Amino acid sequence: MNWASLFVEFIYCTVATGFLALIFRAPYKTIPVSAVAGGFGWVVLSLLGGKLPAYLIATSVLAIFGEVSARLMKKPATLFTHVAVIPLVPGMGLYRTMLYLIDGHTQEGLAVGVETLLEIGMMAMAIGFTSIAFRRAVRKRPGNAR
Amino acid sequence: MEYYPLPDVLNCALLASHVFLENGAETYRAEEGAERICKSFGAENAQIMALPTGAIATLSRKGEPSVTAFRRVTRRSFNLSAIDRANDACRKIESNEIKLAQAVEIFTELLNPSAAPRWHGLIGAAGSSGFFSLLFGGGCLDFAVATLCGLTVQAIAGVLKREDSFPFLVSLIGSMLIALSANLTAGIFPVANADAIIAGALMPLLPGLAMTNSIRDTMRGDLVSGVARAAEVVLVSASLAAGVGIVLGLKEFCERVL
Repeated sequence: MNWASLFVEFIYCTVATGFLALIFRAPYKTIPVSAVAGGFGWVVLSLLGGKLPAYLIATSVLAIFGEVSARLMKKPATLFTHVAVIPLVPGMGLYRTMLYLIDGHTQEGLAVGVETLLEIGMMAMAIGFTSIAFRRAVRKRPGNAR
Repeated sequence: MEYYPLPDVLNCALLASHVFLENGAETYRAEEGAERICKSFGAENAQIMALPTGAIATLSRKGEPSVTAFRRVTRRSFNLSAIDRANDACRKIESNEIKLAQAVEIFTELLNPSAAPRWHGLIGAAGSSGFFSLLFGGGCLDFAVATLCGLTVQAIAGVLKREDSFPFLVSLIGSMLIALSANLTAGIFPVANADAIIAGALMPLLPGLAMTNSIRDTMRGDLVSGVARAAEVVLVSASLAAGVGIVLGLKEFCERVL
């Protein structure tokens, strides 16, 4: 593992995530937090090798980070988690899928496409489970709904 | 506790749901926020259902006829500040810090985000496109092209949104533009990395937030919202892919003919 290039990637990803937060009109106070989280998530993903379990773990780390900073800053966890997670969304995979399919390499296209879908599914699972776990731990839901 | 007429409480609760749904919050947040408002303002029984395209609620109280209302949500975008402020208002209502009239005022203001500056979106799209292209292995030239693409696409998206056209049109036109400029750049300057430009500039257009919201809704049991949002995600990704695909297909065709 090349630490210098990893650090450069961390910087790139942090800045890019900060700009992403601007698109989603995030409150100014939360932008630095989610930007650093985004860069950190990318590093975790790279360190773990970028395979399926890596997506699960990296997204879980981000989701836990988001829930904790949500409690600390008294803001919804969505503000942190959903912005920080976006660099991990395998956009390159979606693009490569299309590229293969257009070139007529249906086999490769399907393989990359299924892998991409599974990665997205892993990320969503991680976010969902973490938020549910945190809500269960913090308080029982009042009322009769659900 | 102060006495509030049920229709007024209902109006306020649905207004809050509307703010949450319009700005891209999860469905459960819209339902729970409205429920908390109803309980805080003295409605004993509140049944609320929020969908990505609207919210319906029925309130009742002992000795009074129940009231029901529906609110349609047509515009959907992402504004995390608005979610944050609406969430804050809900918490203040729960702790009796603000009255019903004030709450309605806050939510009405959040519903008309005229103050949201457009340059935020432009700068954000330009910067994130550029830095993502660097992250995906691009060089200085790729950075510049991706930044320009991000800026242009966001500007076009702003115009299209004002014209009230279909949401997926933005994705289709945007991805076509990105793929076209990336391939042109790569054609003129051989050092350029078309893949890095395309992948970087597509990042702000990818339905990442909608996708995670969709799965979260489904996992919490809001099946209708989950599936509805998933449909939106599929539509947007398909039009992104189609935009790139059209350009790549054209390129192939041109190469074969020339």
